[in-house]
Amino acid sequence: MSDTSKEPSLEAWTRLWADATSQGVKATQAFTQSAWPFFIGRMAEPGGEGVNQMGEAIERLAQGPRLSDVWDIDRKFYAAMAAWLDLRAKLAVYSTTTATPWQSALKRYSETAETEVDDDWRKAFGKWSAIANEEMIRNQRSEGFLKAQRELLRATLEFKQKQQALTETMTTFLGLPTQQDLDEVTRQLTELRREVRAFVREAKAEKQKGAVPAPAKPKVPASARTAAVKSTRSKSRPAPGSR
Amino acid sequence: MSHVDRISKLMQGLTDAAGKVQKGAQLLSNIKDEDVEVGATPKRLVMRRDKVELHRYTPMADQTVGTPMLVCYGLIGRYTMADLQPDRSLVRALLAKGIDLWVIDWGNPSRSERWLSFDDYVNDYLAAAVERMCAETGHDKVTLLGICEGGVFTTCYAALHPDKVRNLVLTITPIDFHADGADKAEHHGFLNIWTRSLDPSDIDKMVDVLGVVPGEFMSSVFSMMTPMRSLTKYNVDLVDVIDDEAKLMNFLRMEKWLADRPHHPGVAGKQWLKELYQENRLFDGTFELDGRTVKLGDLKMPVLNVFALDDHIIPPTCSQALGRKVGTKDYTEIALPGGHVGLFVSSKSQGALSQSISDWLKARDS
Repeated sequence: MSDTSKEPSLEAWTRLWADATSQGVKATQAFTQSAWPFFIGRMAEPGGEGVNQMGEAIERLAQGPRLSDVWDIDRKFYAAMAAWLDLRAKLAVYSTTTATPWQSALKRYSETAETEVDDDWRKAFGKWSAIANEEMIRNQRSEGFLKAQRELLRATLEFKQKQQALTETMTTFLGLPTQQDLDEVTRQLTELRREVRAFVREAKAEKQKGAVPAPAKPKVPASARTAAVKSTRSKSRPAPGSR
Repeated sequence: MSHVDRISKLMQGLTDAAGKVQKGAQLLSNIKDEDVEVGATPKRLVMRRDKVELHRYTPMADQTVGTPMLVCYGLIGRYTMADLQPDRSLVRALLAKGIDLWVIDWGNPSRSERWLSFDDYVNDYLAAAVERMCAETGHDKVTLLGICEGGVFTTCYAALHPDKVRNLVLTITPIDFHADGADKAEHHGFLNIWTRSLDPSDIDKMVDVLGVVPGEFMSSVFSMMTPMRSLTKYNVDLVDVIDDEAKLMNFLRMEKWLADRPHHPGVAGKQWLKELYQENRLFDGTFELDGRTVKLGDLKMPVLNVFALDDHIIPPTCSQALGRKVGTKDYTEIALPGGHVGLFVSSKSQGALSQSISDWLKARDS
């Protein structure tokens, strides 16, 4: 970049703008000649083979070693991409699993329709609905469905987690509180509230214990009370000649 | 019937349906969300503790049962199911029978409530509500009416604080989370099977990533349990009700309640899904709250256990299991026809549930 420190202001700004523009052109050229268009092109290939290979490539990038002086947002981005590709794959398997009962239902319904003909569309639909319902409920309890659902749930959560990591990096960069920060604050608040309420309960219980009236004193007979008073007076009266 | 006649009948049916839809569209265009009221029985706010509110219903008849009763729903869905509309309301029916009725509303937990546990709900919120009820009414004990997960809350509370509970009424409440296998109905117990198919680490990850068990997530699991009904309720089934204003309003109220799905706080969600659904600790006698074990044998007060025979969400066998462990001799079971929600909202079950509860309470109100 040219040295603009000694030039008049307007000309210096003009040169800075020209320098920045040429840098931008070079960056665009680098992108168009980089691996990204290749990645995007491969992923769009029909059949999904490109996706599988890209998924593996992206996975390797995401799991690569971390360098201490290099910002790792790229790794996080690759990790989110890999998780998204995996989610797509698991969704495809799940969709295939949920399609199975419809085929079974259609087969069963066709067999009943051959022997029983309904004049009322509602009755016919009701039969179809009952058969489809049974097949779907049976399918839900199959090992294949439960596995597909489990894998889909895991892939969804993994993607969400990677997405959150990326978001947290950006919010930290912008100086905003992250989700982790807020979770930690609410955790401390919840624990503090528990301690305070436990303390209040204990204090209340102690107070209630203290507020219990003392047991009634046994009644002293009148004669005993009179003797006690006389005895007290004789003790308090000074002995003759003692002053 | 000839082929031509069949086609003619089919066309007539479709034309009738189209006419209904047209009339229904007219009706729908005049209905606003504020016209669809649920949980509208009058009540007043007595106490607020964080997001939790305790309300007391306005009496509708002379009091016939002295001990006040607290309705305790769970964290999945809202208590308004028990007060869906005036002619389908357990709340109204119990008020009409002269019961001093209260309700606890858990509010709308968000990620801020992710750290709340079963311990907090039972030993703090529920305990504070009971304490307040006693202070306001002058009674030293209350009756608890638990619904589903709310029934588990009240069961735990009654076992840990029996000195504060006069009677325990449970409805559609799971006690043995592994008893679904004994229920032969194929469409029952999917929630039990699905939860057990997950690793405990899956549940931990869900809560750690999302902070809560999202209401929408539970909603989608429930929809899966009635697959065809879920697929047809906005088309084929809607044709049956759309041109009848009363039926349409019933449908819309139900939809409004279904749409109200609060999130389930995270830590409590982990306990619900892992310690109860997966590990069955409550029934096994190893479920702990604040370091104390909840023992079903400590339930020595009168217990009424009501369940629905066609409950696909909480199979009846999961509720009935309480009878084998409860400590009281005054234990009554009532099995009613209907499903999990139908027990409260169907027209066929109205009256049966409230009458059973009211008669049972009156016999024990001394």
